[in-house]
Amino acid sequence: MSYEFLLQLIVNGIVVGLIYGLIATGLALLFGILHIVNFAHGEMVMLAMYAMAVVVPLLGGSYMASFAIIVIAAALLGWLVSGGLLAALSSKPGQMAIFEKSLLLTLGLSIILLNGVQYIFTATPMMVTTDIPTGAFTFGTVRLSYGHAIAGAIAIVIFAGLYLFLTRSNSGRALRAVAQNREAALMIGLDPEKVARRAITLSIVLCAVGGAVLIPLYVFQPIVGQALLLKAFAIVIIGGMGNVLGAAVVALGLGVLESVVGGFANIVWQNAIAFLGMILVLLIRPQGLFALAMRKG
Amino acid sequence: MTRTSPVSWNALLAALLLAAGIIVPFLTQSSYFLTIGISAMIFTVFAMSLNIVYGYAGLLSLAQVGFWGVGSYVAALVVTRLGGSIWEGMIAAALVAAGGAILIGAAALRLSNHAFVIVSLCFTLLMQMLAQEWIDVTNGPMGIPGLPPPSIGFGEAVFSFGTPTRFFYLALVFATVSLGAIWIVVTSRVGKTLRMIKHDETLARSLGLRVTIWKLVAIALASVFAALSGALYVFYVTIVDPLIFDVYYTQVILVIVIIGGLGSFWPVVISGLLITVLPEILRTPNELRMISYGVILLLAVLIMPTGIAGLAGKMRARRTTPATSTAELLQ
Repeated sequence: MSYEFLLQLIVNGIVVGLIYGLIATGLALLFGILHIVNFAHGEMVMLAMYAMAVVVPLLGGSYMASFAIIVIAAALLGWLVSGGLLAALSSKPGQMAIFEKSLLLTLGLSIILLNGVQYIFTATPMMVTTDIPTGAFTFGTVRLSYGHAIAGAIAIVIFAGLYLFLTRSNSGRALRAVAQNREAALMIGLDPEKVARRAITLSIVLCAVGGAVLIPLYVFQPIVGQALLLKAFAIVIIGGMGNVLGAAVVALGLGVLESVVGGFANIVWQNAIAFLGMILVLLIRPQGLFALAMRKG
Repeated sequence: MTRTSPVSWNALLAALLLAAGIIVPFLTQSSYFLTIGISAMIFTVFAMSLNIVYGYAGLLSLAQVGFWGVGSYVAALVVTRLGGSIWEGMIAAALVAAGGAILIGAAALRLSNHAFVIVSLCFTLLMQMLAQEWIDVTNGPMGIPGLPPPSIGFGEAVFSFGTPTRFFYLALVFATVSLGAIWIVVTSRVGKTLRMIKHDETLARSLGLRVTIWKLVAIALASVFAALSGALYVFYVTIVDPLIFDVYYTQVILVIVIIGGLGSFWPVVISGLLITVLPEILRTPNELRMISYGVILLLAVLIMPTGIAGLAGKMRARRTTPATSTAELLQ
């Protein structure tokens, strides 16, 4: 009994971890490439969830069609706002550093988004009925609901795509080049603005995917973004700030750990794990579990 | 720059504000106006706590609301569970906050100032979740209602701060003592050291300053004042619940400090008093009020990142520029 229960918790945890991964990699990407922190990241996921809540009923409950529309819309929107965002962030010497500025601006943005959505949709918990059937795959005694299966499958496909993009395509390589060494990337003629806009767009798309896959799994409220942000930040710190692969691995680990702890202990502990893990990593290995070299700054 | 002895100006300003504070309850008995005054004073101290760590030491901390909430919960629990007085509760709140601040700061500063920001935000979010979910202690989303008004006992006689007027004077004493203490700290060598670290950490290090220890001092000090103001605040509103950790408070104090001017004293006091009164004038639904604060934060960062203090400095510079140019002409 206990063993099968554990196995079930691990399976659930893997799916949750994959979703965390989608959200945290977007954050890590922005930090690694642009050295900016996005406090509105959780709210962007939340926004995608509410966008789904609007689009799904319009399309008669079709999940995959709504998913495609939301992701394409996010990509377009991301590309459009990225220019303005970069202009707002650019700082003259003597003014606030870009890190600080990004942080304050996105904090303001997150509050506007959170309360804007709360004003329009109220704080009443939302549930979206999609055309995903309610059954589950069963492997022995372990069950995997169709919603979880779809979320996991989408996340895996996105990760594979992201990995191929970053390692095989020229634009992906350019992103990594800027993250590794900004000056050298400039020297070989990479356009920093283009790279930055691509990174922002990619990050927003990852938010949209993260939000969309959560839809069949949970009932949600506008504050959902804040809890997700806490997890995503903890993951980024544990994995090494700006390390995308590290973030993905840590996200998976955190999902499983939370699920297992949640199955056996009080829910308080489940939420505290991310924070305690972050503090522990900072004390023992402050550069993060997967950082190659210490980066101060 | 010709400035006539700055100390007297400061004393004059302080005396003026204090006198204004003393007069207010004589002018109005309306508990509505007194309530606005009470929250204005408490929030000014709260915002000043952020100014210590962010304005003076250059460490953006989003944990201030966490400490403010922890302080209020600790004080409320000391009173309701342990049967202590609010004063004992406030002392406990300050101690717990300082301990927590040093622990979190020491861990986060091992990596970088950037990590500190993120850890500080996560701390606040976690505390909010704990307040909601650790029901045995915090009573969950219901919160701890019915907090008694603060009182001082002289033997048999007990003086209670249960009326708005009395609480107004209590808040005035609290604000005067706290702001006075903060003034002493930030104008002392401690304040100068913190500012130096903010401006050039490498230089400070090379001069042999133990930078991390100084940062921890600032973080701990800031957490103490946040916890104290939080504790006093919940005894005024007589209830503490998880909403005390709301991002709304983070936003308000950030707006106050940025509009006032990072690392300035009087401009932050003035903007604190003004900005807490503002939402009462803008009597709009809660969400719209929050949105307007968000917009103010964006505009402040984009348009006037140096705040009132920066504008005042610019005007002073403009006034002195012609003088220097005439001096150049004479040469």
